[in-house]
Amino acid sequence: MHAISASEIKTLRLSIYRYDPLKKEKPYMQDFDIDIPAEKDLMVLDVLMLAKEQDPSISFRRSCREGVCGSDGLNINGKNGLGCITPLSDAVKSNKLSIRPLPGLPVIKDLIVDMKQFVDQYKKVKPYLITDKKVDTREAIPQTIEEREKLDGLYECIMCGCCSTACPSFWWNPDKFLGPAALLQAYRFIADSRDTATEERLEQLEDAFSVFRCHGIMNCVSVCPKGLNPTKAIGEIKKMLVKRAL
Amino acid sequence: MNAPRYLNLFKITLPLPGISSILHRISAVAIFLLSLPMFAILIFSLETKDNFDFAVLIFGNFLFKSLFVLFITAIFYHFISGLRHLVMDFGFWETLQAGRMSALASFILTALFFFLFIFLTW
Repeated sequence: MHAISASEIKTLRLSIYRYDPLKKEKPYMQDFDIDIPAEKDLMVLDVLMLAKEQDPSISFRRSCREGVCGSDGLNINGKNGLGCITPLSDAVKSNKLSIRPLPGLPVIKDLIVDMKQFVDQYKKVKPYLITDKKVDTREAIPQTIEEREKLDGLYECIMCGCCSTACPSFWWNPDKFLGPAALLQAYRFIADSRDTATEERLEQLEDAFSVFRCHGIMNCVSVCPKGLNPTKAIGEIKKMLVKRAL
Repeated sequence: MNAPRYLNLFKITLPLPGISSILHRISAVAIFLLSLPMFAILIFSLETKDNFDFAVLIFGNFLFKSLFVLFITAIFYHFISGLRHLVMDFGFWETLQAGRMSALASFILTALFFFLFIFLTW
């Protein structure tokens, strides 16, 4: 096996947000020097694992390590993203990497946040198919190719929370504004030809906060690790609400 | 629950449409704050010729002239940015690329207006 020489190693200055509820300390940033093989483009999650070898008390969530489970949503050098699919070449500037928890949510420990507010908003949009009682849901409900295509760009959401926690409207009103992730799901079911509860869904979104707190700043689109566009979905809901009101 | 929340706005990056939105609000505050003295001077200047001459004298002051340029530029930016939001409400420019381009266009137009206004009025 090829031994890595010192010249092939570069040292990354990693800075991690630390908070332990059992210690009476305010959150602080802890620095680590991480040696990385120069020719390798590691993912941010790999670097966190290397830091954990130095200090096993660092806490963060991770599971699938391939951008499917959505567990390791982090604020990486100021931008939300999944640690497991964010390469250092994308995230690191001037050899420094700062990792903080997703913004706006209560921090449980280090990089782990309490996702309750996020999940509560998700529940509100009833993220499941609602059909007439006449429809036998044990049978497949057919859709045309065109009807099915309307769901592309909506159903792929993995609920990592990167978008909602990057949204200033969600920071200021996490209990009233549903946030981009929940609204993307809301539109996913509104746009579904098999769903028969469109009217009820729109009625629930009609207030001044649930949808209309979105001002189109597009941070949700900018950070979505799956390349989805919640701003567009929210725009569609807004248009439907306006048409409904006229 | 007294858990901390990480929310350092100086460390969190925003895309251009986000910066555009913040500036839209800041320009609204500037318009609100400056419109009171501007309208007060306008009304004062229209009362008599002496008042008008005095208002002209005030406009000769560097600080006041700068505030006036800021006021007019804020109105222009707020208008342009508002139009951009209206276009988005109609379902256009909703991709990140289009959002970035339209935000950049609003900055460039405002900068051009700013320099043109200074050139024409200073």
